[in-house]
Amino acid sequence: MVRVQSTFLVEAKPEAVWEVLTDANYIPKLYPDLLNIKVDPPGRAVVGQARSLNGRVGKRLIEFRTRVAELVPMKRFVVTGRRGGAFESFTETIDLEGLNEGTMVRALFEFKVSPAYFGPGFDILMLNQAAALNEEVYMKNLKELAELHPVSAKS
Amino acid sequence: MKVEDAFEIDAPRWTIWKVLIDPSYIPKLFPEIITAEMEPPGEITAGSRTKVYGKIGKIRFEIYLEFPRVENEVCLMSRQLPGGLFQLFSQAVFLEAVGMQTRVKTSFEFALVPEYAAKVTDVALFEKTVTNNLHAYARNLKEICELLPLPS
Repeated sequence: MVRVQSTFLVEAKPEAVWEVLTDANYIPKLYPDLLNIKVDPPGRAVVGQARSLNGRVGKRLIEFRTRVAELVPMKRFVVTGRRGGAFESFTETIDLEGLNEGTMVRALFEFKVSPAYFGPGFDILMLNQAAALNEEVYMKNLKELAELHPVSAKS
Repeated sequence: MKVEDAFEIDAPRWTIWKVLIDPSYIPKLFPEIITAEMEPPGEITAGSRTKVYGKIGKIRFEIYLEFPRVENEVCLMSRQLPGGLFQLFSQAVFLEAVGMQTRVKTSFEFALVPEYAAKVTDVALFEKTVTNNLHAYARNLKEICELLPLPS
């Protein structure tokens, strides 16, 4: 099992972070190697929402399957893996804490790449490293996207 | 401004078409696009509309588009609706089968809304950023469509 965790300050309200976390349209932008996503039921995250994703490793197209496991508005967001796809197990836990200066985010990813899915031609250590790198970039991207300011032609 | 590219993708037309009409690929095709919300939800069809969020630096902007022409495995066109960053934005992607490969032509035309342009300190730099994004679209479309499934 690989663990990637980080605590960081987002200079935006918890509502702005929550908006990014719960809108699946942001997922391909958060993870560098994820390409697209389908959610069932469609729309914003609800507990039980199934997510099917395509991603890439090098020149190969791979699949992921996850499910929204827990939602505590503005406080906690948890996604777990479903059977099939590139991970044998996967859990993403994001905790938010509102502060005067913004939102403290505690992110924890725990996963195990599935050797059976990839077969013998792949180096599992390299795949774990690639996945860990994606989780690290996810945290940077979450901060960047939640901190964006809208532009208005009139203001 | 006009940005055009012509290139070949080592994949059949239907593979490219699947990517073109799936709106969840839009943020991967354009580096500075964040999300694309479709109306109605689902695949792009003739008459679909989309609200696209993008970013330039620390600023988030919106673009509203409709797809007047969606011709299966041949042509995808979008054009600007009122509101948002651009006064003019149009996109056309044409596919032509060449054996098992596909010849792709992309054409974009854009102009900033003057009120937005007045707020941008360096319009030339801004236009270059948009132009780079539109060229990146061609590169990313090729890269995504040429991905291979895992060996079975």
